[in-house]
Amino acid sequence: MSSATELAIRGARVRKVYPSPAGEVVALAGLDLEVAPGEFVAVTGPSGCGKTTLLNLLGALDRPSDGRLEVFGADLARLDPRAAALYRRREVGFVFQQFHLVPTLTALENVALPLRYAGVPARERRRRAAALLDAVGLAPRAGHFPAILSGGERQRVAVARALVGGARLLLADEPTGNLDGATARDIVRLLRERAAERTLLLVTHDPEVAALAERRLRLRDGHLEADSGRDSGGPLSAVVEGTRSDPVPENAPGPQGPAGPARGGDPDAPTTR
Amino acid sequence: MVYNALMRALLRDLLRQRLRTVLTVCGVGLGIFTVFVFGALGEHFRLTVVEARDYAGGLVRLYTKTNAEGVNPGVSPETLRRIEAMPEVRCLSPSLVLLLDGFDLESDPLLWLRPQALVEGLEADKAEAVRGQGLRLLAGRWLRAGDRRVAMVVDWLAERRGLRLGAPVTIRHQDYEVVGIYHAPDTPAVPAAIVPYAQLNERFLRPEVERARRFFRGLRRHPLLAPYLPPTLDPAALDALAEGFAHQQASLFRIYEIVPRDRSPAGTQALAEALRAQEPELAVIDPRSIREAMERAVALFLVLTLIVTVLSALVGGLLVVNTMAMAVVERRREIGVKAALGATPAQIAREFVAEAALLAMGGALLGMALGALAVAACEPYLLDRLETGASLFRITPRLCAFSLGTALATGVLAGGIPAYRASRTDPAVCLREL
Repeated sequence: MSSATELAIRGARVRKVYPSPAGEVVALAGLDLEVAPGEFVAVTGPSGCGKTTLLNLLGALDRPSDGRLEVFGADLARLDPRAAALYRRREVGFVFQQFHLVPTLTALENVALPLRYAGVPARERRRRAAALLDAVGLAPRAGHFPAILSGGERQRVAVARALVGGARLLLADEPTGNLDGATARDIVRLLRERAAERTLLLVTHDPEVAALAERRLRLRDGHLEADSGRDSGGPLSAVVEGTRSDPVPENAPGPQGPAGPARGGDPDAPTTR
Repeated sequence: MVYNALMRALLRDLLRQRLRTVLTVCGVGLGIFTVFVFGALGEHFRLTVVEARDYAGGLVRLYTKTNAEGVNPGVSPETLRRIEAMPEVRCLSPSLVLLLDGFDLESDPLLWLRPQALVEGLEADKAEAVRGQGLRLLAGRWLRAGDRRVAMVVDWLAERRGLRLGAPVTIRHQDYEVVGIYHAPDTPAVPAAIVPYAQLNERFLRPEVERARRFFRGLRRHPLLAPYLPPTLDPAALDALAEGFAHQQASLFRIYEIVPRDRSPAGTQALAEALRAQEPELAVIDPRSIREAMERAVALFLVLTLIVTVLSALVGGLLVVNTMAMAVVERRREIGVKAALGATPAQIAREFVAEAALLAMGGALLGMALGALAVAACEPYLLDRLETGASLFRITPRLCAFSLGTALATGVLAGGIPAYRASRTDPAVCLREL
């Protein structure tokens, strides 16, 4: 077991429960997870298994109901709304399936948006955003609004936006879900290239995309069902009580069918227990 | 550059729902229009007080007043001589103020209901001493000793009636020659023309004396009174009696302007106090009491302006709240994204408040522009009808700042409620709502 200071992510018995009139909805049921800095981890699993919830917890968009979750030493359960925002600003970059670009901002302004919230001077943020747009091959589209960009271009803008603040943790929630195969691979390649030194957690239903990761985690019903370990080294322990930690073969069928549903599948939703 | 980028982003956000934005701006604009026009009228009254203070400064006014027996005795010549002999008094002039064009209800049935242009008679050699501090000579000269059928006219009257130096001007059906043009504060009771007192008094008194003469001569033929009048009663004695009576009646119309040697506020006040002590049966009016009386009169209008402002701000505020509340609902996903990108709740709230403020400021500019146009369009018409003063509305920097401030405060307060809701939005919930 690595020490906490060496880990990017350390989760111990992480639970997330949503109250609802129909009863408690358990999204994560005591997840243990450790991820090393710089690791590229694909998170797979059927709809409703808790993938997006895990990403929301790691991004401090939500708080665990129980357990301990630390990212780069920060205890995410103890962050108030402002501290959570500052944590996201410093440590986290998000890439969403639906791109989530602000429609009234140009590509350049979208990329520069996190810097605006960080209080970076206008000139500096334009420079950094332009450099990143150039790096993702969209310099000529800098002044264009999202509405006139293709899906792939929008996702490139979103990737540039996630990278611009220098986040150490990138959380990508089905970033290829709305893209065709070639574009999807292109985006993942871009993520890997540009985020080589950063920790990347990528939720995907696409086995081809998952195969590009160094390590694959498979969730089921809020539990970690399987962990492939690191391709390049020994597997990191990511064990949940009562589940295996063996490497998972790509495309391994789960109890609910194949691991890779059709692209653009339903967004993650908690499972009612 | 920073503000340009921010402004562009805010404008784009507002223009997402163009019709809604335009309607809200128009609604706020209507409110600010009302505030602006009422405020311009209020500024007129406020400045009137300020100018009246300057106009009445350095003078003490003397009136007759009703005594304990219910009699209005007037101001006797002996009293005037006593006052002129006071060491604090530099000079004294009777002042007769009458309607410039006379009293004619047939041509103006609403004569009592609106301010009228006035003419003042002052002793010609004292006119400059009395009015030199309150009025500013623009052209020509002041009245001087020996002047008879000459007049000084105020600038707005000269402009409206096309009067120049040397031109004739008709005042109370009598022709005068214009020898001076002055600028006067736009204050009620400030004369539109100044003529020699003797001339105006004679013109005013003659019909009164004639009327009194007719009355007294008629007594000789009265069936009840004639037997009691001595047959030797000289008609000339009756005429003298009539003239004395007419003068006594006319004295009730007179004001006496007293110029102190020391025209500072303290010196003027000291003279007023000395006069009150010396002549307790007369009304002594000092600049401070004039200012206080005008402030009381204007206060009512200022309260009305305040009520209009509050109501307009409320209506405009409700429109802004509604618009921004809808914007928050529509942009929940964006709020979640911005939170994910590191925006703090305060930053998210500030964006919505800034948008609301911009919306309100747009309304303010529209309302002020429409208000200025309305004032410019209506004022010549109204002034032409009223023929008094140079302006009814005053658009001042203070009024513009007040209108913008009202709009800004409305926008910030009204935008604050939806902005607070936006800042409290759970980003994870927003991002799930796809």
